[in-house]
Amino acid sequence: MQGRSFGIGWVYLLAGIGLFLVCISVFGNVITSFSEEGDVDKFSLANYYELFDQDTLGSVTGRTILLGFGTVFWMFLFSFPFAWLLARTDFRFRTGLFSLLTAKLAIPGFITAMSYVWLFNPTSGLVNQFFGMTKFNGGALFDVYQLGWICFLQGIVLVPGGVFMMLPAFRNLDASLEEAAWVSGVSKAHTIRRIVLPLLGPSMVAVSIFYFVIGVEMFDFVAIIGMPGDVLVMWIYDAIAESDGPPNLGFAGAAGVVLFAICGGAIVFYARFLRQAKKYAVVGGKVRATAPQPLGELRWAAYGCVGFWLVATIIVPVITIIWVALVPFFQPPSIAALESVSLSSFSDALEWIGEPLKNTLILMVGSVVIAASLATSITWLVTRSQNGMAHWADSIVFLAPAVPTIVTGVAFQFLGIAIFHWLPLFGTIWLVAIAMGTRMLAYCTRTMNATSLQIQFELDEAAYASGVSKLDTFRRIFLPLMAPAIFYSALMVGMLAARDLTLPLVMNTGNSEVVATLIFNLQTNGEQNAAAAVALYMIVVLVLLALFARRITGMQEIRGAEIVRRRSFRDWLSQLKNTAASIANPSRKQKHGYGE
Amino acid sequence: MAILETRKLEAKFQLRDSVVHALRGIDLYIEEGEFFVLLGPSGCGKTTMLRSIAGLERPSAGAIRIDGELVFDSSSHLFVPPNKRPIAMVFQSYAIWPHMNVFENIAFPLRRGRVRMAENDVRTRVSEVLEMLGMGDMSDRPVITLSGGQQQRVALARALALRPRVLLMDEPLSNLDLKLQIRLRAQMRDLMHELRLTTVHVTHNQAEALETGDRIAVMEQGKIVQLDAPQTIYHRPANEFVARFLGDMNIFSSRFQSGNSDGVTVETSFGALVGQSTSSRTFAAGDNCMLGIRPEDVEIDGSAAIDGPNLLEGTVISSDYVGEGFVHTVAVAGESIRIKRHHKEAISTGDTVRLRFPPSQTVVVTPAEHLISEDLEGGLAGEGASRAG
Amino acid sequence: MKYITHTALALSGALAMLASTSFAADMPASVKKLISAAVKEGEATVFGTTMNPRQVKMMNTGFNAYYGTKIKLNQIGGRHTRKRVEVIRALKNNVPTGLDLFWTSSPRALIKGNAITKFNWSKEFGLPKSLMQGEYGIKTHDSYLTMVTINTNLVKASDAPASYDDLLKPEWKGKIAMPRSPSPWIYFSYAFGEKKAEKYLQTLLKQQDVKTLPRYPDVRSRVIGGEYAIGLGTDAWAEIRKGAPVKHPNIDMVILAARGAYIVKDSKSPNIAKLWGFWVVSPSGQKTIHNVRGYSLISTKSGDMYKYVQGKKVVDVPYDWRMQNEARLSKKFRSVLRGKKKKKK
Repeated sequence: MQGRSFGIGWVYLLAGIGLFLVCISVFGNVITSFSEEGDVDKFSLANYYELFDQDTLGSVTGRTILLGFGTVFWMFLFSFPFAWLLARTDFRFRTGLFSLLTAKLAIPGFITAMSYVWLFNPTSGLVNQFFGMTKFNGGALFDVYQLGWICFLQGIVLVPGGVFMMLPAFRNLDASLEEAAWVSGVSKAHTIRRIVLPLLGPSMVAVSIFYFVIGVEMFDFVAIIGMPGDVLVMWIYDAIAESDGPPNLGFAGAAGVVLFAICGGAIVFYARFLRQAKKYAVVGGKVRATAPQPLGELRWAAYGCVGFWLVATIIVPVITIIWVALVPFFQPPSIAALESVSLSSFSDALEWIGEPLKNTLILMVGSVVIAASLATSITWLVTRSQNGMAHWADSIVFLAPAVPTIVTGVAFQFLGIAIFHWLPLFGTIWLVAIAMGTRMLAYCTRTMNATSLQIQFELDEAAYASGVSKLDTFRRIFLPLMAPAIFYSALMVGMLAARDLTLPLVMNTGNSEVVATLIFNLQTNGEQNAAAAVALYMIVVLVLLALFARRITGMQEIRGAEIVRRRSFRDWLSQLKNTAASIANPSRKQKHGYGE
Repeated sequence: MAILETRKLEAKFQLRDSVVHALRGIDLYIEEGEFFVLLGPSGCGKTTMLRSIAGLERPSAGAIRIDGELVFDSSSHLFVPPNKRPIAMVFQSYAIWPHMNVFENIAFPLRRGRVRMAENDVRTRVSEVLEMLGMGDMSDRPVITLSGGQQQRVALARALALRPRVLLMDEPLSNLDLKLQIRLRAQMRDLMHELRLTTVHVTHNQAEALETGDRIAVMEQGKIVQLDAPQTIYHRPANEFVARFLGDMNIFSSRFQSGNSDGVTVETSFGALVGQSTSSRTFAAGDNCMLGIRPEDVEIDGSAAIDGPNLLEGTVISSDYVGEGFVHTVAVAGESIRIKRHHKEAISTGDTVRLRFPPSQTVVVTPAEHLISEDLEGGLAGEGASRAG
Repeated sequence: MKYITHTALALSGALAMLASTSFAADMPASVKKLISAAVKEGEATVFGTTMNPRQVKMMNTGFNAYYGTKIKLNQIGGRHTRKRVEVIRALKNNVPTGLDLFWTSSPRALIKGNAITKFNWSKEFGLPKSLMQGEYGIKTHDSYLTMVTINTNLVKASDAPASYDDLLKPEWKGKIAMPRSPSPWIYFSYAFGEKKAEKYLQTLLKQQDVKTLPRYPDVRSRVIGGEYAIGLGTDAWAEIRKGAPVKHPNIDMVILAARGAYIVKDSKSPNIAKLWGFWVVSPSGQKTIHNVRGYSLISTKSGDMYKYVQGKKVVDVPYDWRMQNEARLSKKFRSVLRGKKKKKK
């Protein structure tokens, strides 16, 4: 064959780079587990001896697994109804719910955690105090220092991600499959149980498994709230997060490998479901989504569910931050506290936020570009290249979130050092962006895989049979049809990258301060109020960005499926004018394309 | 000159604990300008065959040659990918790209396909092909707003615009309503002939096959069981499967008595009957065979007195009106025989009638159970192997 | 609305400046001659303590007022263990570390990894020998990882603990918080003896239901917030000065360990580094770091620690002992914190 152009090789190359980066963190974790005192050049099993020498390893591991399941349970309890409401019903506030989910992404986990400690801790929790029932008053009403609470909190904050990941599958369920049951006399409820749920099954299982892996690795809640007994991620943190004393990357690596083993079982399940999911891809024919179903009386349940989630995940933390921003130090509301309220923290925050904000934006953009481009290539490889080995790629990428963030950061620092002479990225925000993008690959591939599987492969085949090369098919057929999935993934990545603390903290060498680390620095040094003010600014900016992103990229909904038309510049300009006009005059209805 | 040739093409699929043989050694030889039909029930391998020619599937053995060029050869591990073969394909689901309009769907392969045309040429070609299919004014329409028939035509236009050496069509009409199907199938055939475009058309619809094909290859279980012109396939089926698959056929078990290429005698439950052997197999006395006659060929006594060999007498069980005439069911010796007549009168149930099977229309064919071993091995050694148009 | 925070800090800053100018005249020539070279260097990065922008500004103001310069100081913090590994690795691969000074309690790994430069601060700058940390570093302040803090709203003065043993009293069960770090226990081991320290920790964990929190600041803030009555393992000088309802009870023993500044091997601004070291131990610098983070040498009369240690038993954990025992003890106490019950063979 002529080598006239690299062709589809570019996609393979990008996919390969993505896999390579993931392997850095995955194998970085494994390699350090065999190192001695963090010196990766020496091989040793000492870390494993130390790990297995711990008396509590068994209970810690068990608790870690429970944490994973608990998190998934609570996440599912809300994500499933929300995805259902968004994709299949006439719920009045669908746009609102979607915006809420996006807004939640902007709130950092540690803020949510702190606000719950503040309200529900057994000694001084405000809610407990309000009811006069604290630990020293005859038994606390609420005790947030429990595994159950942590599962609950982790679960509800993961809901937006869960919903975004499940939506494509819900949206693309072919209506005729259900209608076939209805016309045969099967009740709607029964149809849902026997037709719809099984068809959604692979997607739901995949999302659950993914968030199991996320759940066992989340740090903020476990660390800040804590509970009787540890989980593995705390041991990893301990090993690395000393401010004095010798390093113990090796131990962290060993514990991380145990975490892998736990997640590995989950991933094997997932790989099997991915294969099953391929069976459910619509074969030939066109997919018609089910018309929105009327909710009827159920809408009150829906309002309740959404309302509860709104209060629990957004209102509580935001009110907390606002209060903390107003008072000089952490304290419950009281007359004295109210007298000390001041707005000085807001002006201080404005003064300091400049450079970190710039870096945060670079970090966001960098992470999004890297994650989206690499993930798209990997998704293509896994779902459309018809390469038998491709599912290994998917499993490897899936492992990425199982690597604790701290370890990923360290691994990339080492990488940065190693390649410094070819690519002087070490110490810059760009290296952080690469690390962040790599961590986010899995979020993207999950969402994109689900969508890609719903796009019939015949569309690709039609292109090949018409003489179009694989690369051109990738660019002109695959990418445009994937646009919605790419968009949602990019949105997720952007938000998560902006608010993540652990990774920039680990990789900061002085020139790459971001907003999250600024908040951390302020908080660490007693400027809680300024920290809260900065956090508020960040949340507002992120929420605005997210809400406008949808408008700006011009996603149009046509007949239930989201498709981006090839826009001419004039189209785009008129869309902008439209948006501007509707902002100026909110009562004027926005002009849309063909029906919505 | 053969424009498409396959030799001993085999395809296998691995299931969990078994292997499916989709193609069991197919030899084809298709002339330039032929409208060639692959006909068969689902699962017979016709779609696998088509996709193998296209390069969308990889056979396990054999060779494929298109327009003189070898595009697949298992012995030398040669596999030319689909985008390098001089073909175009119309899919059953049309597979038109939903994010593009009509113009772009057709233009995209012209711009980025095997031959990259200049923009002006692209525009000319697209309007040409749209005009040809009566869609000249639909250039700007987004394809998802089109009806099924219109989408099908876009898919066809896309393929035609490429001016391929071979056009492959995978049941392109099956998603359309009947009237449209009937109208389009003739149009399609005429168009391909006019363009002198070699077409391989896969269908399970035998009426469509008979109407459009220059030659038909009837496939079953991965093998071609008969390859002939439509008339031959219809009137002289080589075996029970083909006989039953095409049109309606009265078919009965029988036992071979004697005969040669001019005529044979077989023993049936109606007694000894004479007919023509259309099977490639030579029967020996006592062999099982099947006797068949088309309902429209059976003579039934009415105004003209019938006489001659193959006379039967039976009772009318029913007369069903089918718009263009009647289908009478007559019981003879415990069997039901169906007769089709275009006359406008029914025959009363219970009436006794006399039937005659004209020997020239009566065929003796291989029974179905012998299909795999004998007819399949025979392959195309018999008629139609390399019949030029 | 109170603006005490701002006023107090501004005032201290002004005082610092005032104090510094009056002492500049006493600067040794060996220090003075480094100033012009330092100005040419222009910028330096000190790693060791996380500071917020306000605090960084104070460091810069103090330093530059003292020397009459316009040099930029970057003060960054982070996990020391991780940073050490990173610095050693970078040096090994000829990759610029971007650091000039490593401000830490434990230079053992840095020495082993050949990451810091020897410098005789005492001899070169005429400083007391007691400030020397081995052959490399200068002691900038006494670190007090074993301090006890109490929430003044929850603990009456009469009930305040007077010794470490008092923390084991039943009335404090479930009311104490401490960081997860094993570092304080290294110091306790020196002060009480290893076995006793281990037993003390076990008792705290099991009997007193002590809550372990991830970081030192978490202990501080949550004691202040009233969630816990007592915090063990961190100080709260800065917060006290801000008016938070917290104080250090008069525990009869004060266990200290030195925090030192060490010059990084590939420092691009070694002169600034040296000047920084000299300044921090000067009255001006001591005042500044005290305002910033409540750090001071117990010898610095203007500092809070000086007042605090009066009349108490002071145990100073020696540099050499720490170098020898840190690694082992850290590992051991991490295990205990993880819940290890008995010592396996």
